[in-house]
Amino acid sequence: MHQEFHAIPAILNYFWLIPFFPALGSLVNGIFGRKYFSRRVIHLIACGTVLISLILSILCLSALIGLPAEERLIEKEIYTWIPESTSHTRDGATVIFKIAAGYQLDPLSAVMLIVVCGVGFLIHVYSIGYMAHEEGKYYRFFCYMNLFTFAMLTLVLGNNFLVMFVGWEGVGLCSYLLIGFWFKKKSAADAGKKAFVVNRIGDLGFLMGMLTIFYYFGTLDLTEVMHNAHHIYTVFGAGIITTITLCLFVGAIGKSAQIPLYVWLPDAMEGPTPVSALIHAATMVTAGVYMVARCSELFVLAPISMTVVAVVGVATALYSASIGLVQNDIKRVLAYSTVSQLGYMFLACGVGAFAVGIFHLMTHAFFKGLLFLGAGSVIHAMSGEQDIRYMGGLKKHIPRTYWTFLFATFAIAGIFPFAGFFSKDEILWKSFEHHFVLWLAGAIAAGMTAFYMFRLLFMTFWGSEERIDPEKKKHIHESPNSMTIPLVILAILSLIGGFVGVPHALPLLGRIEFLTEKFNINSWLAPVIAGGAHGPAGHGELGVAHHGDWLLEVIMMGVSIAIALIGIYLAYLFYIKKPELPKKLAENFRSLYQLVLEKYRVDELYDFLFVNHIKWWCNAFIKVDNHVIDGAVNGSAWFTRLNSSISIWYDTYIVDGLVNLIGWTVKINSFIFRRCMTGYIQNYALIIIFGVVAITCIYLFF
Amino acid sequence: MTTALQIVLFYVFGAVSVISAILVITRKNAVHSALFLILTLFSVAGIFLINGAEFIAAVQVLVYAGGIMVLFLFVILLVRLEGIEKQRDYQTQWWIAVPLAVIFIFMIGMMVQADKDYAIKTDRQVVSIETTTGQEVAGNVQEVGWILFRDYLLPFEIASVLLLMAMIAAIVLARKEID
Amino acid sequence: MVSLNHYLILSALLFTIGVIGVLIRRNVIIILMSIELMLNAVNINLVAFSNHLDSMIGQIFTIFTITVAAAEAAIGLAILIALYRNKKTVAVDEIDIMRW
Repeated sequence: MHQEFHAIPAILNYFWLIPFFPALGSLVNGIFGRKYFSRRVIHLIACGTVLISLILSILCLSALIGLPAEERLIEKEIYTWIPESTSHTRDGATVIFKIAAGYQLDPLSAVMLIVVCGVGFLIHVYSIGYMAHEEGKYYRFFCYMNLFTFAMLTLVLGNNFLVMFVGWEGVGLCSYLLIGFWFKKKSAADAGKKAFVVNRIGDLGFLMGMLTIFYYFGTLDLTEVMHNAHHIYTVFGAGIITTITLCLFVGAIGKSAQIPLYVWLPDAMEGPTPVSALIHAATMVTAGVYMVARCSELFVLAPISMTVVAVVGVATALYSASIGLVQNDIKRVLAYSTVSQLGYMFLACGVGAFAVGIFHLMTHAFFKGLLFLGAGSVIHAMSGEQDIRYMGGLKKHIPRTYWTFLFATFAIAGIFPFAGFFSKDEILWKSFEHHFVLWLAGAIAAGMTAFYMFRLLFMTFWGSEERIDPEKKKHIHESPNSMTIPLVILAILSLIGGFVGVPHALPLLGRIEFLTEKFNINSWLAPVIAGGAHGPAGHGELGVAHHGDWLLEVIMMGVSIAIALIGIYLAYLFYIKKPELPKKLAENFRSLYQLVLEKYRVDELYDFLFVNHIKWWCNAFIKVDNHVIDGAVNGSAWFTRLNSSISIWYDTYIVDGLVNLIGWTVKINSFIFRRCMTGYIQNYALIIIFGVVAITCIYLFF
Repeated sequence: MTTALQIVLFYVFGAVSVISAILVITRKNAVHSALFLILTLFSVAGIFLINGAEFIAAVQVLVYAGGIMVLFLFVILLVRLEGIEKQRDYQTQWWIAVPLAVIFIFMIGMMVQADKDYAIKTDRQVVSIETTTGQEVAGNVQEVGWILFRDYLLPFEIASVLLLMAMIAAIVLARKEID
Repeated sequence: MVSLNHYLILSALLFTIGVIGVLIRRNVIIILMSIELMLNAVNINLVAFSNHLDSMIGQIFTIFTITVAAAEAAIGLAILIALYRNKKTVAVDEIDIMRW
């Protein structure tokens, strides 16, 4: 619904162009890139379009800040598919139903815009350097990256569920395209397929949720649905809302790689590193969190689904952190770390602090993006080596990469004053308020996070260089500027990015009104999210603290920092002081170690439970297709041939036979009758006389 | 003429014409056939005379016997007929033809003996000059000329064109091919 | 008394003889002569009727018949000459190109 606007800044009228530029860039690169454009032109177009979108997003954001809080909702329809008509909710209340390609800009989408465009732009610039050695597929990469950006922006800006779903599917598609970018490598192609298929399972849930929403609400428009959420709740009860939110959450599970649909994310590391950074750290996987935050009105009405979300989130966080402890591939560690951090975001949403979840999404985009890009830089320096067991002591050789990586690692471990501290601590505090066990699990996972991230750092950058392959050691070089400058920018953001979420309770900084009220992400997102800035009024039964208990909050902050420091120290112990310790532990607990190393054999379990069955069915259907369907087609061909041979026989013997029969009859008769034609005129004359005599006879006697 | 003369002349001329006709068709030598045909034509002219058609009789002798038969004789001489004596000159079909003709003549005889009245009604009463103009007639020739050039002028002219055509056709057909 | 019947029978007799001549003889010239015989028989018929009915039409018709007979004889003989030149024979039963 449109509101009355007075004096909106002009720039906000053009916010709908933001997805347009990457789409244009994708189209141009895709059509002309192969033959007509040089590499320079290709990456200029690609990065340029994203830059324009970024600038536009920043301008829109600042314009939006200028508006009073109640008016921060701007909608724009691009194309009306089904025009406005009245529809009814299930219980008869009238709602306006309209299907249009529409975009809306409000505080939540503005935050997401900045994340997507900003981090996206930096990653595009990084890709210039990273993909410089690609032969012949340069344009394709940038075409897909722009297409992904377009799809993600559509998802974020959509004003109804259908447009969001279009973006949802679009990012799934681009994820498949980009993971399987080096499709000639079988593992990459398989990983792409796996990502798409597992995503699809989640999408089914999303679709079910969407259809249930339409069935009950009569409309798919986001504002309308959220408006009527409470009404439907009172009429139909919590069961319907729970069903809807659980279905939607299934979609989020697939897209954001929670248990049990996380299995595609580690395999997705087959794609190029910028892809992992953009899609699997900063943007696509966060679409699920965005969606849950967007539907916060629905979720708060269904406490059961909130619990499910929180439990699934924290379980995922703990579970994948445990796998990440023992992985040996840089990117795998980071992948499991991503799954774990996504679990944190869902934990935040599950306990009602949606804004904090979005905040963690933002900071995670910064430091995880930086971590992936740094890993890419390391891989680039190591000429393709990805196994950290064959790295060491790189900090002398690639200092810029090292320092930025260090910043990001501090951020993810949650050390003050880096960005990760603020967001992660807020999550832990909110879950502590809600339920003690949730906090405990989250804290353990935080400790594990700190441990394995510093393990990664130490094994890669510290220590001796003896493990490096000598061939590769010769070629170690710092990455070009196009790769390191985005690293630096992201490092700065990881450092200062947390200051948009300063909590009240923080000593000294918390006193500054500006930071806690005006410049605060919670208050920024408050109008859009249920329950306002600080979560719903109620809290769980085992919630230990009241809202406003700031001393306890400070103590909890200290506890989180302590846990992180313990994790760091343990990592230092294991990998720098006493390097033989990990090996000894692995020997002692061989079977456990093996199990965790093999990711708890979940892929094999899925194979056994589902994949093999489906493969069997696929083979059966192939056989049906080959024998029955192709057989039917071949059979009809055989039948046609049979028909035609019958026709041939009929034509040759019967039809031609009839014609020949006529000729033969004439011939036979002519054998008899041609004897008249003697050629002797006297015979003819004789016959004339015969005739005369005959006539005379007749005349005489009759 | 008197009836007795009529009867005698009829039988004489009739017998001569029939016998010479039979001889025409039976002679091996073509010249003999031609000569006998001339005799037949003369006797037919005689019969014309008996019936009072003097002009016709004269025309018959002049044209038929004098022109056509001479033509026949010339053609017989042009066509060399040596060796014709060795060949047969009657067709195989004379077994059928002669009986047929005999049957034919019997039928005609029967028709004639049926004694029908041969009065033929004509709507044009061109009988003779006497009946039309009422003046004395000087003879058969005058009568023929009068009617021919008055009532039947057009057929007369057409007949002359016909003769012209025949003349041209005969010349074209009979000339030697120019190589 | 010579009635019309006598002339008719005479004419018929001559006609029949002409027919026999056409049907029987191999020599084309004799056949043409037989045709002349037939025409003469017709002439006798016409003149007899002219005399019997006191009408000049019969004689006029006779003149035309004689004219046509003359034309026909001339053309027939010309054809005969052309035929003789090509086939070197005057026997009808050797001219059977139109045979089956």
